[in-house]
Amino acid sequence: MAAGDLEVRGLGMQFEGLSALSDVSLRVPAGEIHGLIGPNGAGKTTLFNCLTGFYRPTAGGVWLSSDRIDGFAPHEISAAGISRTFQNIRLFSNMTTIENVLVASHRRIGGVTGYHTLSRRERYVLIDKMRIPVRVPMALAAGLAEIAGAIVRPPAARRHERDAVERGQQLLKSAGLGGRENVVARNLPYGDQRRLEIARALATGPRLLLLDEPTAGMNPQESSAMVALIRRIRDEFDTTIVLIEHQMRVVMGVCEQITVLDYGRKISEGTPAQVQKDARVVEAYLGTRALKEGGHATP
Amino acid sequence: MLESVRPGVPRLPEWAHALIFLIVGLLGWYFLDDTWVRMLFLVTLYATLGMGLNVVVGLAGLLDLGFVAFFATGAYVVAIWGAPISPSVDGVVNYWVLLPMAVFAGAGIGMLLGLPVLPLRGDYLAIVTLGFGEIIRILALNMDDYTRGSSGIFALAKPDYGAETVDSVREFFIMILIAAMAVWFVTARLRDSKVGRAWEAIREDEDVAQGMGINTVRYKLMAFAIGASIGALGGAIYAPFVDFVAPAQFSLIVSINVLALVIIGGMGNTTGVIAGSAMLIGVPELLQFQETADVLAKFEWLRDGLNVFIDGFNAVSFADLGKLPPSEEWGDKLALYRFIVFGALLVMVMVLRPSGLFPSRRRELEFTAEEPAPAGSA
Amino acid sequence: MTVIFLTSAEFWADQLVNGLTTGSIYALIALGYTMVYGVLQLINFAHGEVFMIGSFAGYGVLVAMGGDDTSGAMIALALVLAMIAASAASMGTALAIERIAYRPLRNAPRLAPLISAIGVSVFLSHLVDDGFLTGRSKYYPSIFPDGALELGPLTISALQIFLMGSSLAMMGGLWWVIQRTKLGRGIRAVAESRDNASLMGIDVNRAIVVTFALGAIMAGVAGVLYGLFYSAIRGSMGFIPGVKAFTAAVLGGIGSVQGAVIGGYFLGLTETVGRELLNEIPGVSLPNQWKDVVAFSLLVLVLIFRPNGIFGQKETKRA
Repeated sequence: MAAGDLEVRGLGMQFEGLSALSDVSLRVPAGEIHGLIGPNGAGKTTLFNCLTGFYRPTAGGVWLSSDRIDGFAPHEISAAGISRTFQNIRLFSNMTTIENVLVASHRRIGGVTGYHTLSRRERYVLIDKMRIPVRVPMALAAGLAEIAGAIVRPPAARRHERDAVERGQQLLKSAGLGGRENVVARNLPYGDQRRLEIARALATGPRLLLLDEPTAGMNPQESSAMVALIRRIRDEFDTTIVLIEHQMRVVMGVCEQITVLDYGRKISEGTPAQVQKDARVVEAYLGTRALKEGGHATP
Repeated sequence: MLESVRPGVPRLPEWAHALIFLIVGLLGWYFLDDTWVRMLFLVTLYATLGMGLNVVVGLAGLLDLGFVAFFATGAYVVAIWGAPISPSVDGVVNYWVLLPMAVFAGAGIGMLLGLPVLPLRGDYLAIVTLGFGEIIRILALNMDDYTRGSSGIFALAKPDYGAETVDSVREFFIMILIAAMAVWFVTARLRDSKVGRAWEAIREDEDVAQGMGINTVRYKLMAFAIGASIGALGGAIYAPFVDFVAPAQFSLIVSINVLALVIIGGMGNTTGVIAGSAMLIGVPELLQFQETADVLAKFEWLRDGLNVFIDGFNAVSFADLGKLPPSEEWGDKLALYRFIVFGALLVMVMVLRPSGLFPSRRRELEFTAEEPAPAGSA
Repeated sequence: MTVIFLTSAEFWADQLVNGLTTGSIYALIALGYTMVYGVLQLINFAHGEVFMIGSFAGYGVLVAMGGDDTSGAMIALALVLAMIAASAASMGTALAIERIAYRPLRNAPRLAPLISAIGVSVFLSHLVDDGFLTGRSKYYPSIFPDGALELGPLTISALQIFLMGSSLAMMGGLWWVIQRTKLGRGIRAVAESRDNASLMGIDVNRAIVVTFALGAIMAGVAGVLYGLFYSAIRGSMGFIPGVKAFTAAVLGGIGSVQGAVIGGYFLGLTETVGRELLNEIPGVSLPNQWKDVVAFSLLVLVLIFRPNGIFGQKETKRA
């Protein structure tokens, strides 16, 4: 597998006897924009939560760039290269836009320990090999060093922070939020909040970006702008993208491959054209809503 | 740096607040008599403790109801190893060795306590810390071999400088003032670093912070350990000041005092912490002064009125509540009543100013916002 | 386990009865915590003082009815009146606290009502202790008839039977109100979601007030039972039982009514039977003063392994 490939095998998620996902498998090659669709309650967001460590899947496995990552804590998965946005926007709403981005680049702001300068892969090998007697003193030392660095503020730390702010400003600019660094996130217009969420997700340096309904609540113009942004992100940041989407215009316009979920199972996959013709997909949507190209799947 | 990206607020910079506090403290130290300096010492001590707890509650958003545990840890480290009278430990260690020992012990205990609980939901942390605060006191009470139980430890080793020893109220006041300034600097630096930003993100939305790559347990633990070590520092200075360390000094009311002054002052804000300390520690202390009693003795009619009320209450409820004493005894009585005043003050300030006397700019924003959804909701 | 039987069966029976007795009181108080937490997500720190006020009201009635000299059928009447007075006083206190210290802060940041609650708690306990009693305790008249029930190794005094019986009756009554009446339905709806309940036309304020009132009635009765059993009452008497009851509520899964009851008994038994069982381990010595340490250590252990309480429902972290 190449760096940035996502592979999900036989993933299952059970809540108290309720099966939210069962035996879901999918493969997203690096650099692809992949759509995840399905009626409400089909398990799309649950799948995202499993991929990002918010839920611990009860069956199956997740591989990113050939590293198995299921069972990792969310912050470890973020370090491994998956980042996400949320269906109901969840910004740090009392922090400014740049601060939102800086929080997400936290791990990439160099520390005194040198640990942060290791590549992601090296770091994971290291963590895996280390046993408790080594990890505890190391974590203590790293913590002390971090506190000392914050208090003393050595020139290196200042430089790292400055670099992070610059990188963050660049990111905001590419997300179309240039010049709004100091606006408190809560005061941004809705569309900009969505953009900020994407910028924040990018700040973790992801190989794989998961977008949960990036155009929800947007008018056609805003949606087209979002589609353009998604394409640009893929090219500019060299990331794989999986997005959950209800607006079929967006799905058909931007996704190269699509996976369809219904009742927690994968019922179809393929190119947009293939999926559209699939009888099972039409059936899943019938009775709830009609699937029409260019129309809204959700009223 | 971070400050550069925060919107400018036209008010005095923080260092000016610190400077004003320092000057007021020094003026008091120079002009006032020992009774007053003692009060200033307590106000500054509690302000220091408040700054420590503020890291936990105000910056990282963790509710700690057992801060007294760390205060006690610091005091007992200094007492057990610094007093000839303490059993089980021979010899006396120099105070300047004990002080950092106390601080590290505080951090260690903080981490030991925090490690199992910090991954859990906030309210559980509150009750576990509350319990732990009580446990430390019970341990101190029952581990006679080290703490001499309820009889306590006295005659502690005093800090020395050159050939001199710190043993007067005035000298201790200078010591706590220096400690307060140092703690202020350290906590301000931490708040304005990437560590502080991680805390803020955790306070805002813990799940998302973790999703964005923050090791939340690590940073919560860090906040807890830093708060604990500041609490221990306070205890280590308080112990030789009163020259007596016994379990009765470490009851829940200390934790409540510190938490209350942090919140009343305006969470997340050091200036507010000092104001809160002046109000909650200074005012009740003030009630113990004879001068205050003399002034209040002029309000005899208030006493008569209250006594009529008490009579009435006794008549309808068959209770036998004591009447308020004549004004000559008010000096003693006021000291006794200070907790009643304290409780009423807490309720009043919270109801009138729920975000504290001096809300920090950031907090002010939060308070006008909707309540953030609890971690459990989608 | 053979070691256990080195001590007599009577000893363990005693521990069991003591555990159930304190457990009953913890459970009654815990109900108030858990219900208020359920509807408001507030740790009602002043609940221990609501309990204390009830205890004093009951004391007032018992003294007025003749104190130690009460006899015959008058004892039953005095006890009933004491409980009614205690419930009423506790309820009045709780409602006043809700109105003055909590309601204005309903939409304030989460810590503000907590501090306000702590303020009420400090105010009330010190008002009674320093303001009215000047440090002295009051003592419940010992009017309850002696006598005990013996069942093999088990000896239960009449007072203990009365205590456990009336707690169970109160809990049964509460359960009935919550599960079977319209008032209870309102409370349950508000506990589910305050917003949804108000959309469904439920008077949220009323449900909250009723919650406080019900919790206070339980606490008031617990106050009288406590006074009858331990005799000495003080302004600060509410603190330890309050903290313990809250611990019990957390153990049982906070917000859950059944959980609070089970947690209360569980905690009571842990402090007595559990502690003595630990003492059977060679080298361990935990005298009665250590019961709080045992209780809180148990709490920490339970929270590590069962973060939602022993009987709490599993809650999956949601994004």
